[in-house]
Amino acid sequence: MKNPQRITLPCVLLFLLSGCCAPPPFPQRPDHDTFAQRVPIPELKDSLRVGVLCAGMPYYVVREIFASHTDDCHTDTARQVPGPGSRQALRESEGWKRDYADPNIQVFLDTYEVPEGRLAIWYRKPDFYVMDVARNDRICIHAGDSAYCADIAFLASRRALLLRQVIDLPGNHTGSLSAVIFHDDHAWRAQSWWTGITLQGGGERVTLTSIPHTLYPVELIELNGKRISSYRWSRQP
Amino acid sequence: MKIPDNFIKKNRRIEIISNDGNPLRIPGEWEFTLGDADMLVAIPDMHMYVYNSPLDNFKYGAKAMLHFLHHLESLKSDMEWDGKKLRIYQLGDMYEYRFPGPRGTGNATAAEIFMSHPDYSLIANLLRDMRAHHLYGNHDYENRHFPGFRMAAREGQVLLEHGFVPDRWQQFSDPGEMLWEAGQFFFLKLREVNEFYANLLIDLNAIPRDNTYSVGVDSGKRAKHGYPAHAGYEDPEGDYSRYLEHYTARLKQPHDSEPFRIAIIGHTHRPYMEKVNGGRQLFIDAGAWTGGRSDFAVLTREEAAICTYRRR
Repeated sequence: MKNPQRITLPCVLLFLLSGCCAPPPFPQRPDHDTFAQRVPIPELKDSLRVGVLCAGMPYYVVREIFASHTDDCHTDTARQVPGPGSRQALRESEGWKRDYADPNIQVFLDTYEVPEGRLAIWYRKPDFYVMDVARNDRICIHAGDSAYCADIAFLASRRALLLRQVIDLPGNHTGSLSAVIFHDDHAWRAQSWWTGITLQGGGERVTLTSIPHTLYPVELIELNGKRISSYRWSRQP
Repeated sequence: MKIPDNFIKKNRRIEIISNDGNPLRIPGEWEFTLGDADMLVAIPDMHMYVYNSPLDNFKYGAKAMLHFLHHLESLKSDMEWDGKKLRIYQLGDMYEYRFPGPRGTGNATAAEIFMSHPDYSLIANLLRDMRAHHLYGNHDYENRHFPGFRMAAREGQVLLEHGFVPDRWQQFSDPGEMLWEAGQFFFLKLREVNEFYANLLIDLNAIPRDNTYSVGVDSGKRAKHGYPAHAGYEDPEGDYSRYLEHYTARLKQPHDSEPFRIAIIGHTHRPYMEKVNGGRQLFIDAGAWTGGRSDFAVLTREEAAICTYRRR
């Protein structure tokens, strides 16, 4: 070739462009055993096993699935938003180049470019008030391979529930448990998923312990602006 | 009520550092009140910042803080069963907003900081869930916009404040002063430029990454549990005597309701306890839980102490 530089520059530019805006990387597979230990809820375990992300899964699963999306083109930086479904960033400004956002509002939005389009995932710090838990809802606590259920009598506080029936767990379950709450006559939420649940007061009182953001449950998923119940990230059958 | 045995003696990681290792007895003639609380724990400056940054000098004390908060949680629950109330205060500068955020421009926000590590969000959530009362300091001054953050608080005859007002560098450290805005902008830009070039040199393999070093910031990797020498507080020309003077005067000011007996502040990162105004009132600087320190103050109607929490 007479002048190799004539082809070098376009190649370099092409290489840089392809590197920057390559198709989204393939999602990762979270460890199933770790998940089963942390969240022993059968429907969520089964979903994870077949490569389906759904509401109720803890946020760390999202981070692990899309861990490779964290380059300049496919940022996964969580955005603080006013509520689930909202895309408006919760951010005010003050003074010269200073931002701030209310630390009390803990609803977050992650967006990812996936082969099917743009995936949006909302998750939040849960408590019994913000998740609309009410009298006559039914809580099922998962321990081992079984679920132990009781009706909710009333909310003692945003982190404590009193039950109508005593839940008597076999063995010594003093640690943190997982639970599903089935909502009675709620406008749009049929059930919600919980981690960090403890049973107290001889099985009559349920309290919610503090959890880190990595265990916040996914609340809502949208693909290309349409609400979906689950997203299959795994291409394997 | 005295400081309960199961609070200090049954937790070997807690050590009283003030008053030669003993709780200071509050004179009975003070007839001292603590509002509706029976015991008060004041957690001073934490300066939590983005976990992976060398500018974050809280991370080495984060596990100890988690352990301490779990200890407080069980104590609070035990006291509730006995019909007693433990109130927890965070004295401000919980977050470090004065450094650049992970977006590369502008300052860090609370969510960016507590989501930088699961331990950080758990610490923030434990404090919230225990209904800790939050004050704001000059390093998280933006929190004043939100419910639950206050400039100062009163608990019975106790005044709690972050303590930035008497700072020697008042023009830059007091948000009410004229040079605050310009100073913050300048310092933020300086840090951004510093971060940019440091990262550039690291990316070019010119220098190795050192998460324990950043210009002008003590990483906090080395634990500091002692009670520091008080030349600064006791010397009238020293940096810290200004705080003592300021709060001694504040305690003396007449008040419509019960007069203040005790002032508790943070800000200086220098634990200190001293009876003032002829021994009729008490000044407590709770120290810091950052830069290697892990101090807190504890107060009942009968006793007061500044403690340190050992990392292990």
